[in-house]
Amino acid sequence: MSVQAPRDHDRRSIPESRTTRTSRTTVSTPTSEALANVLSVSVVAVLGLLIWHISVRIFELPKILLPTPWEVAQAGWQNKEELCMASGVTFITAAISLLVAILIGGILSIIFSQSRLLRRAFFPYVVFLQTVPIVAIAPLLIIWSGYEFRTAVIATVIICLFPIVNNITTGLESSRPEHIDLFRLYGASRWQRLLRLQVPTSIRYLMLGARVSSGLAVIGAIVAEFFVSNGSDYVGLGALITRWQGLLQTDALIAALGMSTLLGLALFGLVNGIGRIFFTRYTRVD
Amino acid sequence: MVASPHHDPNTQPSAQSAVTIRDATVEFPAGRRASDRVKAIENIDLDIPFGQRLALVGKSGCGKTTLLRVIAGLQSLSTGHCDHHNRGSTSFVFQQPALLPWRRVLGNVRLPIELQHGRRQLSSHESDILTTLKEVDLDDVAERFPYQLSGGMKMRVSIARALVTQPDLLLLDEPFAALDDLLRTQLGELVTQLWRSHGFTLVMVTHNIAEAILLSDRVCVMHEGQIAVTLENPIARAETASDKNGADLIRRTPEFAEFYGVVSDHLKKAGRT
Repeated sequence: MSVQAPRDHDRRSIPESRTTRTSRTTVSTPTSEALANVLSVSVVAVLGLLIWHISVRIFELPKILLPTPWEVAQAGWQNKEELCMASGVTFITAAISLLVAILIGGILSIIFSQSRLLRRAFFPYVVFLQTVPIVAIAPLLIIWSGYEFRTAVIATVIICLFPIVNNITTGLESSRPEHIDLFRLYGASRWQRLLRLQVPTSIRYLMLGARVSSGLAVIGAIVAEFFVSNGSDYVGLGALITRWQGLLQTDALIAALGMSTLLGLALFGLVNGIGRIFFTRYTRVD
Repeated sequence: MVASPHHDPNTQPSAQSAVTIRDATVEFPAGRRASDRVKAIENIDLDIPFGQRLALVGKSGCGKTTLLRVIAGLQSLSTGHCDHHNRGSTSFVFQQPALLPWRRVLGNVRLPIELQHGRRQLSSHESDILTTLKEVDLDDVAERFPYQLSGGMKMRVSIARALVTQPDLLLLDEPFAALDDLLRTQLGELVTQLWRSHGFTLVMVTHNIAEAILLSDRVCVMHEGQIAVTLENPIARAETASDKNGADLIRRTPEFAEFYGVVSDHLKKAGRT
């Protein structure tokens, strides 16, 4: 027993110390790396704003054509309530649309993975959705669905759907051959294989698709709002942009533009965060 | 089941055979036309007695993995047949550990039972699962994820997953090829130990002659889809008598060197013709 105890201890301690070492490096490196990232991005931003400011002054551009960054900031501050409300509305539209796209995309992909015939028949139409310009179908959607929040969601879902369906479908077919053999060997049913192998494998791909679509969702929502908010209570960033364009309030317009960029980042961050918190075990590559 | 005595491969199939293969041929499409086909294995006859350990050796592309997949039922035959006479299940250990990265060690080892019996019956198998983990010395890492394990540990998880169904037939496809020599020997000894306590029939594919000799009762040298020669392993009996660290001792015996030479010569001869 006295001989065995230290061996037991050894066996247990070696892998654990390895785990701590890995986690320590993953904690320290990203912090310094994130700091470096933030610094370099900030330097570029400051430089860009400076160049912008100086060019406006040198070329004496009228405020209506291009205001200085400071004027944009002031306009943003003056309209802060409206901007925040509109951003919230647009964010909700984009987030709900992304969620709906993931649900519809997931169901479609699972159907495609189960039937080659259905996949062959319907997948080209999903690609077709991708090629249809949203600006072209938005008026049609308004005729069918009205000047409503719902219409903006439908338009945004159409934009987001393709990357998601494409990625999940790929993911469902990306199981490693040994894993497929393993499931066959133990007589797994089609259902068992889907739930225990294909779906878990595809989550990594879904997260990739959702990240791409998070950017598209904000774009889609704003473009849809250009059309939908025309004369309705539904006021998102797209509505503000069209209104301020009409009033030639270029400074406020640019402030809204800035907000829309932040929205894209926020949604991207949200998707990433959800992935990190809930799906790490599926996104890790062994 | 107890290891059966050595068996003449040329006799008719008997009740003693765990697996009988007759006139087995597997063809794969090899070109654009349907008539372009390549034979991975051709007209193979093989009997594997209950409890025997059979090693398939040969150069890559000689059809040994295809033959193993035929025995596993993962590859269908173009002609001929492959019959299993065992009542229990068949397990397969792949070249890579092939663990599901999103499942913990316990979840990976439990998978075959989940697939065969469904989740509801898991509780009745819980003690089997824990026993198997203990057998491969992994009970204290049951809650870890595969990425937290070393290569040797992953392979042991893979072996535990194969054993958890109490298989009658265990198939190994170059299972230790990616590991260093020391680990290879250790895992080989683990397999020998498990074979002694479980008494399953074992078929392994390897391109390592020493491994084939240390882990088998019979060595089949394959060449271009056929079994060139079947050799009874004289070392196998000696090893059964030896102690736990026998592999190192056996490697140093003249008998080992001699049989190594025989297998090696047959491999070269098969390559020349």
